[in-house]
Amino acid sequence: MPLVELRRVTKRFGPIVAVEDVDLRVDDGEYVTVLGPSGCGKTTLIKMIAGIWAPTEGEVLVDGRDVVPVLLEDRDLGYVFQNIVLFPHLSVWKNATYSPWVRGLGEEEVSSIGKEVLRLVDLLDQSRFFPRELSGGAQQKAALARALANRAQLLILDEPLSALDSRVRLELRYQLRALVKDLGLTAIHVTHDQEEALSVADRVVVMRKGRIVEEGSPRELYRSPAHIFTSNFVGENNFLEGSIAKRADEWALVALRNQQYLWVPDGRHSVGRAVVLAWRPEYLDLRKGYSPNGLPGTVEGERFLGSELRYIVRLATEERVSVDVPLTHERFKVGEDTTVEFDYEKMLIYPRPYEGLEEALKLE
Amino acid sequence: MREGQGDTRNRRLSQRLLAFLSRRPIIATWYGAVLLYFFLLVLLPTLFVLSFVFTGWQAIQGLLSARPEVLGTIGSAILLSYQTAIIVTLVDLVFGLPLAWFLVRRAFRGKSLLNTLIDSPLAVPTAGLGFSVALFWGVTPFLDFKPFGSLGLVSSGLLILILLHFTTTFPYMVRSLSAILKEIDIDYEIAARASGASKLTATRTVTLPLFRSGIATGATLVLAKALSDTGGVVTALTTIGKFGVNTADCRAEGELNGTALIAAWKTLSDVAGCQSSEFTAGLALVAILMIVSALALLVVVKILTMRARIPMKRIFPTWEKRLSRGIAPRIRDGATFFFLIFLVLIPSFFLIGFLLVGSPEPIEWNTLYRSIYFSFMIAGVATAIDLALGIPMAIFIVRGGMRRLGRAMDVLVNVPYIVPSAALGISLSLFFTQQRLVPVPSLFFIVTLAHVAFTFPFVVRNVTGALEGLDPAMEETARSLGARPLQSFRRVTFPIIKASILAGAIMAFTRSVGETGATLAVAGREAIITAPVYIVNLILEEQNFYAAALATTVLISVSATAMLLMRYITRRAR
Ligand SMILES: Nc1ncnc2c1ncn2[C@@H]1O[C@H](COP(=O)(O)OP(=O)(O)O)[C@@H](O)[C@H]1O
Ligand SMILES: [Mg+2]
Repeated sequence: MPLVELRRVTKRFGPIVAVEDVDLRVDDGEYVTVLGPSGCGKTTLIKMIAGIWAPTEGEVLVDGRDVVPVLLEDRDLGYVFQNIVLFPHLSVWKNATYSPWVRGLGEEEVSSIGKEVLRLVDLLDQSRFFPRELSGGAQQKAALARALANRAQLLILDEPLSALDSRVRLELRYQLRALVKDLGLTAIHVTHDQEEALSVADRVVVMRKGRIVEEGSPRELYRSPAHIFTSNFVGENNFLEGSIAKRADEWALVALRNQQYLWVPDGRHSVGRAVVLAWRPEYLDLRKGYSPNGLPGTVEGERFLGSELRYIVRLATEERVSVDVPLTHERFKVGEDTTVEFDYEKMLIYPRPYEGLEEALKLE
Repeated sequence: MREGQGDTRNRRLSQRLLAFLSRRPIIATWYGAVLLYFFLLVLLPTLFVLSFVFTGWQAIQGLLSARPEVLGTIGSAILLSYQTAIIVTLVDLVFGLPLAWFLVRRAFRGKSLLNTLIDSPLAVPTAGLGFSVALFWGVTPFLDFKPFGSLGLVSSGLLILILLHFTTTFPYMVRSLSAILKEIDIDYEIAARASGASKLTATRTVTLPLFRSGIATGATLVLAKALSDTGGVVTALTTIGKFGVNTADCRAEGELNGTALIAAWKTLSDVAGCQSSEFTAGLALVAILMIVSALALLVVVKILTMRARIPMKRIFPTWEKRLSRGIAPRIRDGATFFFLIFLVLIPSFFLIGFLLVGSPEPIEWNTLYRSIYFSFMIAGVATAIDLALGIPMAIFIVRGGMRRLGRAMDVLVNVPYIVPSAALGISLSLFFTQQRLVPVPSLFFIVTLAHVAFTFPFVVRNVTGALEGLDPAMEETARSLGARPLQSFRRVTFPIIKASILAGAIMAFTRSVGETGATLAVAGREAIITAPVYIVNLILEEQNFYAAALATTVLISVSATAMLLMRYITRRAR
């Protein structure tokens, strides 16, 4: 049985539809991230799970029980805010022991819970400080300790790392996952950072404009996103638009712009169908001279990415693509003619979205 | 063609003027002039009466030996003032907190209507409020009939003053509480409740402690207002027959508080048969005691709210939970609205009903119009001076670059506001009759200066608040693009703080129009008759309640129109 289940949940604020018709199941012990651009309704979604807001329509079930009428303070969950929200007038210790204290537990119990959660986040020696005296990372750890002190099975994290410096963010990311797994908790973690979502989650739920686009394991989502929006939002992608001109067995000849043609493996689309082909930058290669499964183009720019070089190439179809190559790769000058080679194995093919490619990729 | 040239020439001229005025020595001179004015004509006169302890010690001793009972009279009057102010502050807090919560944290229709209702008693001058409240609650010995709907219950001075000051202070309390509650992120409360705290526990342990400054501001405003009011006190006490000036015996009679005592003695000091030197000493003594104790009380309030440990150590989870849901919050909200309606709104506007049932009596329309004209003249001139001085003063405090002096001014500016205005009036008139530094053209001039003294803080407070919230980077950007300081102020800062300047001006103006104490203390009841003084005179001398109600109603409509007009302009300005 899933621990949390949403059934056809919608939330409106006046004319604004923040969350629309969402179904979601989170299993016991699972680490789920909800990934989406800002303003897509992620916070609204988890606030309904937490009981901060009631859904306009639909049901929220926890452990199979309808919890919509249950007040926030009786929900039994840990909640971590993007903007941290430690109580500024209380010390780290008082913050961490806030939950057992207001629940009226005995002094000894309060203190043992406080020690336990502060040890978990490695802040025991800073427990006498006030929130403003801590670094951003330490503040968010203290907020996590406060949420853990609730001793709840379910942990809800609203962009817990977004307010932190990038280095701290990377470190805390893995600590967070390890902690949740060690304690056997269930976590729903909201983020707009796709790298963060992929690296911590058992399962990623992609949201856009108040709706769930698709969900799956990080690997599935990166390798074979079912929706063209996901293919660009989770990792980058290059797109070529065209239509099927001819078919032969499992292959199709795609007519691209400017009378360019490409044979690609595809058994699904019939002749005449408008399609979009997609490759991630690392699945493309550059070479000098002609190649049978490539397209001619001109190098327009070069960017240094650290471990790789990225070339921006204008194809004969007038479409621009990014090509990532290792630093050891043969070099091209800006303005030089080249051929872009496509790795057919790694290609994705989508029917052309009816609203147009640009519209389908837009964040909001 | 020629017009275009004239335009350019004008612009060039104004630019040269701005550049000239922006020069360092000019700005320094300007700041200096403002500070000089403040110290010489606001702060010094306000506290001048304190010097009477040294200069007039013999007069005070003489008074005390000739009339030993005076000390008791002063003592009980001041005690009554403080009892009233403290009780009113506590009750206002009890009902103001839930109401502020309701206004800030809940979305509902008619919120702006509720806001207007809460503010509406501010449109009634306190002289009218005192009379209205007393008509509603009190026994009315001078009336030969019981007005329809009046309760006729209260004959105690303390009780009527408490009931009066609910109406004069509650709007201020709710306003300042909700202004600061708005700034407190609701996520703190959510975090507390997600940790298992009931609403009551979350409020008690998290929101209230974060809210201290709001409580201190609200309490300070209410205390100052309740201690300071004169017009309302005199009319309320007169209406229930607890204020009298016995000119035959040269005695004040009834249940007087501090400001009422000042008003009564001031009247007696002008009476030919009474020894005015005695009253001068007595008035100075009352003023000194009230000023010193008011300043002390405010320090105490500040310390209390900052030190008090509101999150008590003990938690009672089951009880607090039970009180947080079901019937208890509904009883709380019900009681709050009952308070608002029956103890604030209805008593405030009861006098309008009285107009409908009372028997019409003649009113001297000419005197009424003249008094309203006087009130608006004084308020207008005072507000203009407030703006001319208050804006540079606020800039000096926030941006002056002299941290110590700036911070000191920030505190000092509040002194004339905190000091009860009747005491301030006594001090001012003493200053202007004794000093030789500044020539005194007329009584009107002194009254206007008195009004500047206690309305000036409104402008400074509002403008410093807005300037502190403003990113100095905006002005610096303008400066980096070549704007002179004064230009960048006019083009960048001024448009942004315009709303706050207007808000300050409205507060200063309405406070001035409604004020009685300082005017009475400076000019007595005959020399300069502003509208509130006229209302006091109607009630005190003639017991002409009908005319007083009519005059108040006229004044309410005029002020309400002025306020609406200003609000309209403010909205346009945004
Ligand atoms: N309390 C509210 N009142 C009105 N609109 C809101 C409220 N909270 C959120 N919204 C709107 O709902 C949409 C989703 O917001 P949110 O859930 O905060 O997005 P995210 O967390 O993904 O950035 C936004 O368009 C936002 O403006
Ligand atoms: Mg959000």
